[in-house]
Amino acid sequence: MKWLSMLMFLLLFPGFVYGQTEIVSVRSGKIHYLPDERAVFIGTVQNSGSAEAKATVNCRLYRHLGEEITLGSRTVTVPPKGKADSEFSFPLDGVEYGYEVQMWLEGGGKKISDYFGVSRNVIKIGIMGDSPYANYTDVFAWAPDDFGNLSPKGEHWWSGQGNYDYTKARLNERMRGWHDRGVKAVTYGKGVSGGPTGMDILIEHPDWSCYNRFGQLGGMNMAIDIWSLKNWDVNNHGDSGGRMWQFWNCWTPNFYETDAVLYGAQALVDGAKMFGWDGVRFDAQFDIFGGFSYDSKTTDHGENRDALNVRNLRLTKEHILKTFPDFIFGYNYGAVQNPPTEMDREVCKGGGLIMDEGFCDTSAPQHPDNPWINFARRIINEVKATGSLGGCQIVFEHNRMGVTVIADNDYGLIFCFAGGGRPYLWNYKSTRYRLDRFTTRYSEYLLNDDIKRLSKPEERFRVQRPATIWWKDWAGEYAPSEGRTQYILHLINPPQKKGIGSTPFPAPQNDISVDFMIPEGQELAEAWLLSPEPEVNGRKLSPVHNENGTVTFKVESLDLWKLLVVEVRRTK
Amino acid sequence: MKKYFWIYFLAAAFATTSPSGAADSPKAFMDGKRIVLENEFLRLVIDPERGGRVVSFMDKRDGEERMEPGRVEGLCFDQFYEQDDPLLSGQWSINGAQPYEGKILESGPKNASVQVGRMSIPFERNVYNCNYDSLYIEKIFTLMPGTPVLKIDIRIHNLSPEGRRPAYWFRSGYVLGKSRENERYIRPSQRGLMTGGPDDPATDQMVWDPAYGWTATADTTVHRGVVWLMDSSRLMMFYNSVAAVTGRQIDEFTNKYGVDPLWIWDNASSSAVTSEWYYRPVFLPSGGIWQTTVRMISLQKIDGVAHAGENFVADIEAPASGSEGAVSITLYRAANSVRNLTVTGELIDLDIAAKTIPLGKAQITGLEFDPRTVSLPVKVRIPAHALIRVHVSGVSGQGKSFTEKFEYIRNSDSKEIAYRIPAPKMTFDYRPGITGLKPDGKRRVLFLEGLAFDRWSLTGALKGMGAEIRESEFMKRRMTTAVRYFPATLREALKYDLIIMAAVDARSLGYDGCMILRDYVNNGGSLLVFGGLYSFGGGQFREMGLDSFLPLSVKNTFDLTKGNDSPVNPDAGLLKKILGMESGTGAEWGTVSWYHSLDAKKDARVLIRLGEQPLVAVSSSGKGRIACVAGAPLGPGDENAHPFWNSTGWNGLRRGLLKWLLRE
Repeated sequence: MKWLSMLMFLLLFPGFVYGQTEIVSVRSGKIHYLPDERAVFIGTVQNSGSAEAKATVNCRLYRHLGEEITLGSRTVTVPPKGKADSEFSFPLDGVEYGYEVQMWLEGGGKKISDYFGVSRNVIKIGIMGDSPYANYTDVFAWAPDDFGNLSPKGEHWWSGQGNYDYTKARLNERMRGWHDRGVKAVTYGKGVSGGPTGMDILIEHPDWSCYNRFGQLGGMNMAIDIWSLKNWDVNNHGDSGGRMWQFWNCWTPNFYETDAVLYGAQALVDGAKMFGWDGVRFDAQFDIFGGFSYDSKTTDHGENRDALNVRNLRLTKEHILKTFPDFIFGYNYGAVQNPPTEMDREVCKGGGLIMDEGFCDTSAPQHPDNPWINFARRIINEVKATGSLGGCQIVFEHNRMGVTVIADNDYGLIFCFAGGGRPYLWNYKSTRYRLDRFTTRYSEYLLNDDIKRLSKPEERFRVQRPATIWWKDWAGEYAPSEGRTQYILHLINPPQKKGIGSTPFPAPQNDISVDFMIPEGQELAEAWLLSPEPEVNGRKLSPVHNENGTVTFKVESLDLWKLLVVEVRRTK
Repeated sequence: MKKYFWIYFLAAAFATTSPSGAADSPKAFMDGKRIVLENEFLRLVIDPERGGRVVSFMDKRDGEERMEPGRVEGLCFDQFYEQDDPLLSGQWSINGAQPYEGKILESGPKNASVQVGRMSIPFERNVYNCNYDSLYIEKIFTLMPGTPVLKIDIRIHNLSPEGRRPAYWFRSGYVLGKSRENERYIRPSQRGLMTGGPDDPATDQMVWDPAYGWTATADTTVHRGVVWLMDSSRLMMFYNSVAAVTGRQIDEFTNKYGVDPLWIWDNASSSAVTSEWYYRPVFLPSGGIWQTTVRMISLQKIDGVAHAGENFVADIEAPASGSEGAVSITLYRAANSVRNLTVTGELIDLDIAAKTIPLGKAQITGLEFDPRTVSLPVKVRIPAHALIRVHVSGVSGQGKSFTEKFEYIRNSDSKEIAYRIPAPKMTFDYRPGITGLKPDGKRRVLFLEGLAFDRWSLTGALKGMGAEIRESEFMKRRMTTAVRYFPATLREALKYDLIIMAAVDARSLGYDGCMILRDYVNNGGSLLVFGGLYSFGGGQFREMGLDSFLPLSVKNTFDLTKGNDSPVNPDAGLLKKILGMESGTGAEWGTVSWYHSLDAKKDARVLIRLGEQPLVAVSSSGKGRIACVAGAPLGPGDENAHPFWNSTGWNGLRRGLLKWLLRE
């Protein structure tokens, strides 16, 4: 009867066995989903006991400010001293931006979360860098020729630019790894041809090249080293001592010739077919550079160069989109002009990735945007201009070479996200808080070009104390749906040094008080404080209603960065 | 009589101490607005108001004035020049002769020295140029006792609050004998000693590759010479002319043709005698001073100069001999006093696989300004082609030991010794042709490989002919072009029977290299030039003067032309006559997709035409042979395209050209 009593005990007190199980990990099947996908989540339960155990896993999703979606529970049998997975899924039904998936075991225990993003265009909520939450990757100069050969014939090659060692097997394996996690892979593309196969194109089509006034190769890049071409043997590094030479044989096509444009576009199609690239990020698209054709005519043949460049870009996109309708296009472009040019409109159209590499120079003390406030405002302005044309502004990591990095990386990322910019190449591993998780979860309030900056923020918000907090440049409004308005205020504990470089962490601010002036005809619906400090969290705030009709929110502490989101709705 | 004795005695005593008479110690004194500087050897008159230069130059040993009457030149004239346009845009012109401030710094007994100086004029052809603003140029002329050596210390002070990049030019115009017809000049270049005389073409008047810091002029009919010593490290170019163009003519040619300075000087008439050199531009920070020293040595009893330095000036003679011979070395003291000299060396027989034969040894106890000649015996016949390397060691006046070496090349083609200054008229056969430097009979080819060089299939063909190939690859960087290897001297170039340029531009060789190449061909070398990217027009052949000795000349920078349906027309007669090819017209030539549109020169023999365009042409230049292929190895290369360079016609022509060029 002993065994019967034991069974009765287990049935009556299941927690006893559950006590030997715990949920040890939760992960989203992908870090990035397309809106029409069904998201999958896996929780792993570990049994530390010596008997098989059952565990019931609960799963819940959070999105928007605090919307909860319960996905129910699953009971799994966990072998002794073993692990078992419990899987949930959910149709995303087109709802974009950030999600948190949370799981915990029935009967108590810790809750574990993971985060993922949803968008049609990955760049819209794009995180790129060394983070596990990076949802796209940009593979630099991997191809035999970034212009004309992205589908190498052989298994093994050196890239034309950089002479990096590649094999099809290795690249395919990496591609599988990215795609399995939902990470989109963007190839590097260039309006400059190079490497041995690129030089073959030049030899075959000298009429496609730009020339300078001396009748020699011209345009943006041009370099030849016959020795390196002669000794280009991937199986034998020859005199290089086993190292690549890092020499880029290259030439600049004259894209007045539409045949050259279509050649480059087809090379991208061929590359995407071979490896599955999701997009291209041009480091110089197929624009016409100054100089001459082989026959001494100017490269633009006296025509409007801007119009020709727009023509080229449209040709390129149309050619590629015929085969890959969701292909992403990005450009190392800088910033759009005011008023925007036709080319500005074309690159931004459809969520184009607009990279401003110029940000990498801002760490130089003499740079006009070296002061943090200038750096931050430049991001705001560029995001606004690009976003108004439908593009996604990319902020290149500031080049911190030669300076001691203390809080520089944290502030760079904070100003980037707070300004609505998509960071490129930033370091997420050395930040004080998990900014990658936080920005994945709350991308709706950060990387959302529907957020309009408040032109007179002091009419809506007033940060009563302390006075040093930066907030005025980072106040916006957003209408998530008809009749609802959300006011977003970033609270930033400002850098304790004027310019980028060796910026120390500030002392935390405490007892912050923010007044909110409720717009006429509206009433307060709810308010949330979103924060990465110390872990990703969003919590509802209880306001204090003042006699003058304003409300006051209290924020107990601020180390670096928090967001206040106040939602109002029309008065009934 | 006694009365007259005292009168004569007093007159003589007064004369020896008067400024105008010979004096034991150097002196400087005013003569009106001019300053006289003299010692027992030299009498110089400096005119501060006219360019701060020496307007009268007399060597008291012959008592004759070196300045031509009525001319505005003089010694030690100077100016800045614009680095990109050194010959055309001087800071102030010769005729301008801007006034300098002048003063005597010292007047014996030890030294006599005079300082002249002035602020620069920040205008160039009446256009403001900040690069010349607020520079002060200063020269200090110094004579020491007992030497015919004039020392000139030059300083450029940057008085502006910002940096400057001046480039300094120094020139002297004088005639050593009765007539400029007998004037000769010698400059050490990387290609050997470069000598010349009246009416030389401008390309010979310039030495863009100075090897040492000296230059000399001489008149061997009166055996007078002047050697100039200067710092060599920043030297850009020597220039000499016994007849030079005027500023007006330069303007005219520049405005009319807009062409390369070398071309202008080749085609302009003459009017001046000049010996000059240019220093490279120097970065001069605010408050900075650039300084250099020049020494002029006036020599008598001189027949030639093979080497010069602070310690001695040397002449050399190695006459043809029977079974044994001797090399004569003549030495003169230079700026330093020297003693206990040992002279020795070796002779390298270039006719017999560079065999080295030691020379005998000679001693000289003391050396003064009168020449001392020593004979170094050689226990073999002095060969027709020989390199003589001379070692001179000794002790200078400061007790410091020194050893100096210099080389000279004997050339059997010239009756005169290569470096010497013949009279009355130079021939242009003076250069050291050493084609006998290939005693093992091996064919050596230097292949300058540019883009698509391999399409011509030359490497295999040359190896099939037993040739040894030195490959040198072309490089193009953002701003520059280069080849990995090119001979630094004519002697080195002449080791090769054939130099091939396959789409390599002239700038990658530099002016020096282009001149080496020209001299190489003139001395018997062969040259094969192919079209392609970085060749002919786009190869800057015209701008660098490279096409001046090719059979085909460049018409336009952008001469690369798409092929058309024009037929390839071989000249069967010439192919047979020159290359010994029998099947010129019967061959199949494929398609010429790209070619350079060039002009054939009068002396060109066009072997193949594309329609009317010259496609392959040959010519001779001096003792050498040149072949040019105007076709470019560009365009589709697959079998369907059937390119020219894959045709049976080209296969035969390639063989024929290589045999002709290698003289097989």
